[in-house]
Amino acid sequence: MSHDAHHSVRKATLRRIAVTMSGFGIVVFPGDKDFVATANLNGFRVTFACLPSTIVVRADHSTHIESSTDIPTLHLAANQVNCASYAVRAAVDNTGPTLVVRTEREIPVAAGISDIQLKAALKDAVDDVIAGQDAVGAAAQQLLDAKGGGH
Amino acid sequence: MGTTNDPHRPEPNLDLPTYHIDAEALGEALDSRGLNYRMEQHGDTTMVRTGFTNVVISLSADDRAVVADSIWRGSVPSAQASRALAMVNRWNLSQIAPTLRFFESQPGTLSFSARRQAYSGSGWTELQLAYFVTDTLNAILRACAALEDSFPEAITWRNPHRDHENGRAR
Repeated sequence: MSHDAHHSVRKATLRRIAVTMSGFGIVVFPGDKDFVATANLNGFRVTFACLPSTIVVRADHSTHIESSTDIPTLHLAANQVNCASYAVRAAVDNTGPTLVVRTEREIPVAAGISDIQLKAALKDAVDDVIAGQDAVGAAAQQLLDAKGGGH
Repeated sequence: MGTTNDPHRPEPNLDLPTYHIDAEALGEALDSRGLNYRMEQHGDTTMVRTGFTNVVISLSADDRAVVADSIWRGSVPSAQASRALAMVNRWNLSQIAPTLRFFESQPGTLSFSARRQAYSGSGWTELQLAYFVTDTLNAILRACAALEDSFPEAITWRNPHRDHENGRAR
């Protein structure tokens, strides 16, 4: 392999994430744990978690559907999105009173990350988790339409 | 290249060369781990195929991302869809990687796939590539182990053929 460039590769920190996001005009707020920060983007709560080997970027969207429901539409929609060629991962959090649609991307940082890499990867991740929420919503709507309009 | 199990982190402000990641680089990363692979051309994409007794894995790269995709060797009847849905959702909520998903591979049969993708558009250092490949293969094997725990009836390979595979345990 011939190399393309040199990068100053450093440990990922929440502070670096906050500085990078502010470069996109997005303010991130300290979260309830010292490795977590949050931002409000397009109406979704977006969480940034800086773990030792990965950064997790996650968008959560609360629904009004009770978690006790036995209608699997959202779970099926999440699996459909995961099967499509989206980079994002979708899941349905049923641990609270109502279902929460979660879309997530991770950025591996076990071997460090440069500012250039972090900026590009964070932009990609944020765009993907927002687009992923729309994709789950659209897939759920299609499933409902296919069943003849709602539950 | 150092061992990737090493907890070593790069020094602050270490200036490192980065490389455009392509199929050849992915193949070399597998090779340096003693893993067999073969290249397959699919249209414009070169797939790097490897695998273990219980899973086939393909790695590929374009200008933006490296993708690791896999198919678990087991399958379950479509009548088990609700169990499959609960299992993959539980995994995807609790584990960072890979993403588990399932699909009807033929009428009446569900197959499972584990996938991981990472942005590589700015290039990677050798160590970043090494970590991604090792960590991703281990993560896919963990996902397969979880599938085997959830669907023990789907395990049909008690006497593994290892002719073209990399054995299961690493």
